[in-house]
Amino acid sequence: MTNPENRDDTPDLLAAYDAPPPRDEFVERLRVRLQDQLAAAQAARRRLIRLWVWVGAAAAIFLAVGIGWSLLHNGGDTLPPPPGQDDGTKPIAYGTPQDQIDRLVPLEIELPRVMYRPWRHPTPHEHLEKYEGKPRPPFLVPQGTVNLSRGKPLTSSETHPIIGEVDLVTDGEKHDNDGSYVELGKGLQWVQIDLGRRCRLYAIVVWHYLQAPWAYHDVIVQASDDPAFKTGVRTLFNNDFDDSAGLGLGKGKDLEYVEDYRGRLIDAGGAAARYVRLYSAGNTSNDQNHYVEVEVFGQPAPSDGSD
Amino acid sequence: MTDADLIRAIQAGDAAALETLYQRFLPTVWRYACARLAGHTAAAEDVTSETFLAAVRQVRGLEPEGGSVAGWLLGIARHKVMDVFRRRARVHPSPAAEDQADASDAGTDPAAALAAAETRARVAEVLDALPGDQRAALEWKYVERRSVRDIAGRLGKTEKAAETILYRARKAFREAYERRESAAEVQ
Repeated sequence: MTNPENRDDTPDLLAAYDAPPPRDEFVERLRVRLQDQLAAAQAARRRLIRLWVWVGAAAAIFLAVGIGWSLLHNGGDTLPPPPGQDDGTKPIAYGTPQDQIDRLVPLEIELPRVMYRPWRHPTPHEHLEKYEGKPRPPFLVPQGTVNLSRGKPLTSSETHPIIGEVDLVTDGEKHDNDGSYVELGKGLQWVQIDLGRRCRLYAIVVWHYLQAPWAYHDVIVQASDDPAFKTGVRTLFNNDFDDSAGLGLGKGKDLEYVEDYRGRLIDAGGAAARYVRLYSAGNTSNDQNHYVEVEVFGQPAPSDGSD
Repeated sequence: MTDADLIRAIQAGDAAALETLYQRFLPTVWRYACARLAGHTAAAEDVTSETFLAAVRQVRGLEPEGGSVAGWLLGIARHKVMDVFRRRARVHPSPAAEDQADASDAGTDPAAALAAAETRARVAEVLDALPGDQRAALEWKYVERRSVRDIAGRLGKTEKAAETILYRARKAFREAYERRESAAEVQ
């Protein structure tokens, strides 16, 4: 072995390492291929950037519309003012005696957050309330008014719902997903809440469906102390404008309305009852009936029937 | 333009920078392929093509200051050469016969051609084990006979630093070559 310190044949060895040059034709062909490949890679990159720009812009628009929609609509409902209160901007105490006005407080309703969905609203007609995004004015109720229906037992005309269980109606969960609503069969169907005792009712808020702006037909809300709703029935809301439900109530005076996350607030007018029953008969999209949640607000009432 | 500048420019889609890279490193990759493939020029052309095409595909993910461009390209070339060997092994189960056939391509005197091919292969192996900067400096200085100033410019170093790299590269090469020779004698 030679001592490496005494020998430096590196230049010779490396010179031997040299190889004949590649063919000119090969060099030129490879040059063209490389430039083509670089150009193709750049073009692909530009296409990808353009795609991301479009996706980003679409996402931003979608987000902006969703946020705008939420800001516009999360504040309230389009509940029409009662007779005598014309502009709807003042707090409204539906059905509340004048002598209780000083002890009224705004009813606090927990509204669900829903994702914006670009569904078309139902075709307008004379019995459909015009959908507007105005905030719902505060609804005044006597101090001490609470949600009486949370977790209360339910019965229904549908013993075997198509989707979900009837218990979902009072479980306190209001979400716009498929696990949050009960779907009852087609035709006129009802759910009934047993408040457990006689109560004075001030407001009933019902969310039929949160995933689409449908309008439900023959929405009738009644209160009674009779679980069979044969006697002492008080009708609080009725948009069965053609009396097709056949309950003998005549044509309803209320309008059909478009569902949204605010739900529909129904003035119960201080009625005293133990049971609340809600009817519907399909909607503008299908024949089924849905309930996400029903909340009955009120206070325990004297059981002597003094109201 | 330093190697790092070249990489940045190519990443931005600069065709002229790609041309510069091609001219600068084609001889390095070509010699490597020829040496490892015993002068089999058709296979060397394949390896060289595939190496540069793969480099263009991968260049976007390369860190310009992350190391020697020569080392990166030769790393790709090494894999391409191994692919050739694997393909040959499938087609020709006897590597010795293949080597002889390759050697006969290199010249009219089979014995001299074989010896030259062996030397080139050994030099290639030794160079392969050197750091990228050292390998490139040696090739540019002793094979392409470039000036130290030119080498310093390509490496993005001062001339003094380039001379230091060359000194260390020569020493490392010589020692590694000696070790390989003695190992071959023992066999």
